Amino acid sequence: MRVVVDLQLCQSESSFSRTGRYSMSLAKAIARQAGDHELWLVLSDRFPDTIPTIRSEFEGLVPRDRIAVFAMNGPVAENDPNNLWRARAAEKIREYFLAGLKPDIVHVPCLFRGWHDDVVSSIGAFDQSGHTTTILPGLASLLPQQSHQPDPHLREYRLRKLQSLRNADFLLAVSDSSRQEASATLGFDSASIITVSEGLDQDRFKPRKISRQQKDALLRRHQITRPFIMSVPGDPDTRINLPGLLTAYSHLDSKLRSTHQLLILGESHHQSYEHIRQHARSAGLQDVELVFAARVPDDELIALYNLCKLFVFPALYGVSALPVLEPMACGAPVIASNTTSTPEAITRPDALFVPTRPEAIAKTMQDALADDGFRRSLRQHALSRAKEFSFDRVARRTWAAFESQHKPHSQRIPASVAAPQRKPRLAFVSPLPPERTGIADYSAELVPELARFYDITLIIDQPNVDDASLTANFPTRSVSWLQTNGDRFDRVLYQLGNSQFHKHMFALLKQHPGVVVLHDFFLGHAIHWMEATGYLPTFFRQSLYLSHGYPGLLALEHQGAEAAQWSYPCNKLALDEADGAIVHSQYAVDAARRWYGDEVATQVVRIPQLRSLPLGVNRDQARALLGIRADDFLVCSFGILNQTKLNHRLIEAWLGSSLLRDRRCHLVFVGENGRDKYGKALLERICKSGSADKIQMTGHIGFDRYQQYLEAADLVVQLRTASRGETSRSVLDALAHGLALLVNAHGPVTEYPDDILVKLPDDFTDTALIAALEDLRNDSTLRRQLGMAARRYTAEFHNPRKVAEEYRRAIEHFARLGAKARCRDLLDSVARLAAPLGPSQADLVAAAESIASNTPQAGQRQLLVDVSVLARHDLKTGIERVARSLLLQLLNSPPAGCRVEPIRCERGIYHYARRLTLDMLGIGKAGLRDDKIDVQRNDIFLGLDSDPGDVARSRELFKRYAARGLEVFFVVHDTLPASHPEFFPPDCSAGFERWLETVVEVSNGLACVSQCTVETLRTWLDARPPRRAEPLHLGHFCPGADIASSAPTSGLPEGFSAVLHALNRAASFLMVGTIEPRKGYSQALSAFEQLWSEKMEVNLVIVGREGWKNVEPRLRQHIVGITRRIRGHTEFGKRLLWLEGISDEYLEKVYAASACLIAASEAEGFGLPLIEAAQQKLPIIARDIPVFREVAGKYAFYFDGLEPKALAEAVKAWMALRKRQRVPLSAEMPRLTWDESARRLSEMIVNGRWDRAWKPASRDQFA
Amino acid sequence: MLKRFMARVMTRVVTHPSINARAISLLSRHPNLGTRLRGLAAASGLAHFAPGTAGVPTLTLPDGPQSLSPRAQHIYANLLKAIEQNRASR
Repeated sequence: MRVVVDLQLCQSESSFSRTGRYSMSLAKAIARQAGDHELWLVLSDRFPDTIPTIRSEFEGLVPRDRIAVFAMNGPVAENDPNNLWRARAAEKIREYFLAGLKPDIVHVPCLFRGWHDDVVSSIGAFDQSGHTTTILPGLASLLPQQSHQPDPHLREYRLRKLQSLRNADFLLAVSDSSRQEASATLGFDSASIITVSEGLDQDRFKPRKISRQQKDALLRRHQITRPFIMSVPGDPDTRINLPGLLTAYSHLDSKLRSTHQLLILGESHHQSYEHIRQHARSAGLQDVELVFAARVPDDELIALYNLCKLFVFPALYGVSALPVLEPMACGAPVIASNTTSTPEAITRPDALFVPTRPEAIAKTMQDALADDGFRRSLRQHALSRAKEFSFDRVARRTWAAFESQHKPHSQRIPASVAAPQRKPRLAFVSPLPPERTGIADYSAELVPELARFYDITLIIDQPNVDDASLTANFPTRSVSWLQTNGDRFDRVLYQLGNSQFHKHMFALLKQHPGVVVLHDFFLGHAIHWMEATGYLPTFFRQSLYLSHGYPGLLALEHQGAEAAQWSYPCNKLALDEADGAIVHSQYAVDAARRWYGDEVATQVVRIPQLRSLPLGVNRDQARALLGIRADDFLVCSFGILNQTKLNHRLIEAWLGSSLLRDRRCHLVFVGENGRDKYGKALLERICKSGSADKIQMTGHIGFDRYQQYLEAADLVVQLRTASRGETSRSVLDALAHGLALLVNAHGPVTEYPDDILVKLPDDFTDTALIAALEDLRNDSTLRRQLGMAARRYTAEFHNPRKVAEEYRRAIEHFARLGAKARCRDLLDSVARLAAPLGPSQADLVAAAESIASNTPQAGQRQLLVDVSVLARHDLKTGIERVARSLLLQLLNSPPAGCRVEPIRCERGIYHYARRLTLDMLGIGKAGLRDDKIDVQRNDIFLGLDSDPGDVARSRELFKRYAARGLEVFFVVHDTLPASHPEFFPPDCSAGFERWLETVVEVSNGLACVSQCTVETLRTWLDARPPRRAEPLHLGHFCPGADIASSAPTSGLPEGFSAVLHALNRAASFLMVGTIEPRKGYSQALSAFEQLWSEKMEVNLVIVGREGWKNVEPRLRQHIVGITRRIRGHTEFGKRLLWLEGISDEYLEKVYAASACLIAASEAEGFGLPLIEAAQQKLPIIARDIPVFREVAGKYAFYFDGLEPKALAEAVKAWMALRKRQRVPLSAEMPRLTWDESARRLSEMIVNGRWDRAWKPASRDQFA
Repeated sequence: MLKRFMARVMTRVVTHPSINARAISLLSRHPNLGTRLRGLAAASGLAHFAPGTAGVPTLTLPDGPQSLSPRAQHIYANLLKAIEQNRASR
């Protein structure tokens, strides 16, 4: 049983209320007691900040993917009449979303919320398919006859809620008193109201030790100066009887009053206590005797329960016992009204009073305050009673109630589905005879059967129909006629196959959605035909992309159209547009699930093909007409001959079997042979074998001839490979004719039971095939038994009347309860909403967005990779190289179950970066636009190369994404602007900090490029803990070293060989990186000046662009200084070379020509040049900083110090080692390829394999 | 420091009904400030959960139909069509 609990109550301000606490605790207990049942929680995205907290509250109790968040625009608080349309629309949208979860039970803890806040709760506003229940509120003040609410708007609100309550299928009561009240006033039968009892969070509400210091602070905070009596009125409502309490308090002894205070705790900030204070004054109470407090945090509330001398609850009627149970559990002496649910909790007459008599309340208070023994006894009783109200007990009762009320879905289908009043009008879109496709014949057989249920019009895209039975009974219309008259039909049924006969259906389906019968699961051939012939240009590429993403387009680009058609079903457009799909095999259902996920599989049903048993079969006559003798053994194989039918295997087996030598045995291929290589090879083989008289091919034949072979055959052999899910009509024909049938277990044919045919293994051997042929030839009894079983099976499972009945059931199901139909119903329902203030365009846009968000989309989860910077301008820095390389790897090898979609941010809105991606992949135009992204829960957002400004500005968007169940991750390339602000312009560091503050708040995890970056990030988090409820995952992956896999740039400038020659003449020391202050170029230049002055023959080669070009000049003086120094140097162009903006191809040659890499940077996130140098086996001199130690380990020579001398000495020492061939060699340095790097990144973001988690601290001050 | 001070101020405000009512009324005119203070209240342990936008309703509207994804645009078009049909049938 699937139970959905709506927990919006715990997101709003009601979470502070008793009802909110009760709902949260009960939901947790329900989760603990769920057993084999499936529990889902539903939240609203109107409260995004609360969602991580609630998810963490249910960690380990409810799987994260079963906490579903529905999208809704607001505001919808009903106290504002301007919100009425939105509120009504939101009710319908919420119920639509709930129904989409396919619940058996929907539990709404409290209906009466949403007046002040954006909680939406209703029952029966749109959908009644679930079985909905709610907890009974106190009804007394809600019923019209009892409500004296002067505000007509509030009165209407309550009446609407009351109607929702009446719409509930059953109710849960927290007490028998409440149950009886509801039974009497709402008219529910007693079996539909189930008492589940009150529950208490006994881990929280219990006697606590409160230190003197805490007590003093608490009492001071609430201005409590004397021992106090406490009361919790809840809503400022007459039912609580606050005036009665105040009057009673005024009746107490003056001595008691002068030594005590009455503390009244409120639940909502909306209530005003002024009128209560006036009432107190008129009763003779002084202001100092009363203390009011609104919305006290839980830990303070519990402390006050522990500290109060007496708790009084004077309710008049109809409320829960929870207000007395909470203080009882904390050990407070409690006295209360004897008329509500409280007697069931207290059970002690001497602690109860008549609430309508203030003197009775006063007497009980007086007794309790004056008598220490009585109070002690009340305290002990309270503690003992409270133990009986555990949430686990309530949860057990609640589950029992759910189970007792649960009805299977089948019993809840509206009666109208079972018995439509008139025949619905159905447009039947299909090729029909004489079109040369099996689907035409299939449809000709199906239409008369379906006509029992539908008023059918045939829609054709062919000149004429030559089936007299069809033309005599059914009107025939053209495609263009349907385009303009489609609205006349109640249902549309498409018979869709993988050939050009169906070309008109794709556009029609979009215009007039209906149910699609997918005769072939793969539609690539039909769709490619449409593109290739210009019928719909780019349609194949668009379909490939929309169905399968970039891997489909890559297959087309690199392997060709034929391979792409065979490899990819290319049918998602049809599935997306259809109301539902009918297929003929489980194989196709499984394929739908495999390619597009579970969601699409719910929109696909399997119905067997229909096949009536043949009448008037005359074997002898058929044989006579075919020229086959009565005692001949005729083996037939039906269908067009091609490689997938394995005709060559059958020929080889025949030639190797004893059947070849038996003059009575004949093999006939009934079908057209291909004119391709394969067809020719078959003919050659037959000729060479000298058996042309025994092995024949009929070529294309008409229906009558085909029937004659079926009637004449002794054995049918249908082999198959590379199935794309199509069900074989020939196999079914053979079964219907009661023929012995030999197949291999491949594709849908595996679904036939083993006792009606002979099934070889899918990868059968020739020997097995020969043996099976010979066995079947020799065993006529076996053939007869198989044939009889086959006929029985066909009669039972392919009976046309039964199949038509299944068709009707499926069509009606999809038309009424299918996802598409429900969405249309929702739109109709929203369109019919009447409200004084109609919707604005913005309301309608927002409603459309919410509905789209709440409608699950079939397909793989998207891995949305933000490459906004790359899309805007590829600066060719290390970060862009990392981003480009990882993106390419992810596109070429997507993580299992993911569809990789690069995206880019434009004016705060994310778009698919299709143009950029096609360019990167070298794929030509595919007619794709950079549409706005369409996100679904479970998608993944990866900020790989995000624009920091965009991210910081999109904080709320990311929160909304996270709220809806997307996982958000960012790659942290470094934290240098935060950890080393001295190296960056001030604006850059401030911008980076804003980015970092955003990503640590909104992300599920951060993937760093090194362990060092993880460590500095962790230190930063400890110093500046973000406001978040859930742990933040941290992990690292290392970039790849193989430049070839990073979409390298190519091109060699003129004179490059002279440069390389110069590098080879002396020991050349290479520095790679943009020219920035932290990179150590000044030190290196000075060091080499010293070396040159010492007559050392060494070159310094700098490869990198001038950095910070977009920064204002005064901030880049250091960079300008370095570049001037380089260009003006006497050795420039001789022993000092600066290669600016060179291609990757050139860089590889420079690596190869150099003697050593110098990595002099003072701070780095990783150090890509180190691993690239190692890839080229180039030795390394590196500054001794932690990240270089992490990357290069013992495979580099390290130096320390910022003085030129330090580096000069290091170079000299390295040269000395080099002479002795003792320099550390870098070739063995551990490093990853980009493929491995991308896999490691995927491991983290897709499979959750992180290094560690940063956890936020706990905040309970009394814990 | 400032956060601690604000938390102390808020504690005083929420325990004092008349000031609290005035503060709520004031905050309803400044929803963003209200949201931030609510967040701070949650962070300070004044509230059990960080309240969301509720209580201080904010109108969050997309820019227009052009800002929708193609699927949402399709739904928007169908919604307009349904409204038109409903009007016509009245």
